[in-house]
Amino acid sequence: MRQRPWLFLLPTLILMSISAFIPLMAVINYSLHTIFAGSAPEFVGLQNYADVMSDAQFRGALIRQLTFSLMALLIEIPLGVAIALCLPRKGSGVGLSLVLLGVPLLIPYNVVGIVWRLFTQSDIGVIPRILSLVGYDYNVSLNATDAFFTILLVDVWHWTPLVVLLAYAGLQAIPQTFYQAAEVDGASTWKTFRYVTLPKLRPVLTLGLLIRFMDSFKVYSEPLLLTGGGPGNATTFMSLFVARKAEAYELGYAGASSIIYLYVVIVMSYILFQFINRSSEERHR
Amino acid sequence: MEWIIAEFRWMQWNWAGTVFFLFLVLSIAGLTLWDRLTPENRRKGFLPMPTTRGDRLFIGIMGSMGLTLIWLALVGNQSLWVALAILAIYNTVIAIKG
Repeated sequence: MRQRPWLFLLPTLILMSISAFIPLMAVINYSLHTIFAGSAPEFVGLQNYADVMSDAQFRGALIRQLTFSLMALLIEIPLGVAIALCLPRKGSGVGLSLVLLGVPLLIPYNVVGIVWRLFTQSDIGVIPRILSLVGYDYNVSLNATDAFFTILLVDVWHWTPLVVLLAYAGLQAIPQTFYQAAEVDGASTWKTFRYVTLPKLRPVLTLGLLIRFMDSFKVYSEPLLLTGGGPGNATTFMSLFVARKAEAYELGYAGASSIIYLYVVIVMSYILFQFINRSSEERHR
Repeated sequence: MEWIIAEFRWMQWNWAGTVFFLFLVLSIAGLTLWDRLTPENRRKGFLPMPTTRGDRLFIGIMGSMGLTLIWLALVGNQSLWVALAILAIYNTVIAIKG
């Protein structure tokens, strides 16, 4: 009878194995071969990994990706918390505010890419028009900096609402007694935020941080539709780099680069989780 | 048996991949069994956080992958036995002192 939970878990574990582990195993096996269309795969051991690690384009995509994710987190987390703090806690405006904030989350990735492509189009777009009024010559298809920061802006617009909703749920769960005690002690607004609100928000912010890190690291549709990875390689992030190699039927190379990509996501998420967990434990000591 | 081999041929099974996955499955199964026989609490070694045996295995595997990638970037796909010896020392240190 003690084994009964395992029996209930078994269908999920089998499904997980089929949907996640088998494709992963196949990719790892493919990454050890050189595969060209129409010819038998040739086993090459770690050669594909050695090629990927010495590829300047791969290193460029990885550095670009890390910069992008770091900047997205640095903007989205504080902005999300700030917006959540400004939202009404009760009353008729709560529902409307949350629905309006949630709208970007409902829009499919492809639609987001197309909408922002129209916004940023140099001849008809609203953003180049507005920026030209202040004397800035914005061109997403020619200027690498414009292209990179436009993708970042799209990501911030699309995903900050998720952080807002998480932070808002966290704020609603903080008992009022903490704030009353802080008020009795004469704590300032900043000190109440620093020593009451922020520590209580830590679990949901950890979740938000991890979700946003992993998601921003997988950004694909927006650069594909908005800039096509250009100009040059300015917005060729990891997912786009891997997809292009697979499209070119370099399956062994694409497999090796996607395993390294997965490895970086796992290691960065683990370090991030340990870092947040550790500082949280130190605070509770 | 023939049928199974034919059905999974698309996965391009090879000796290196098979050894890697067998190592993973046997390590996880072995650790689970070991933990049931002699349960161990988290302990603090030279790593910055307290770890269980499973944590140390995970850190060992992830670190090994990282070291292999660094080796491939700096030395290339050669002298892999030297790299394997370094990984064995690294994993032993993580498992015992980590």
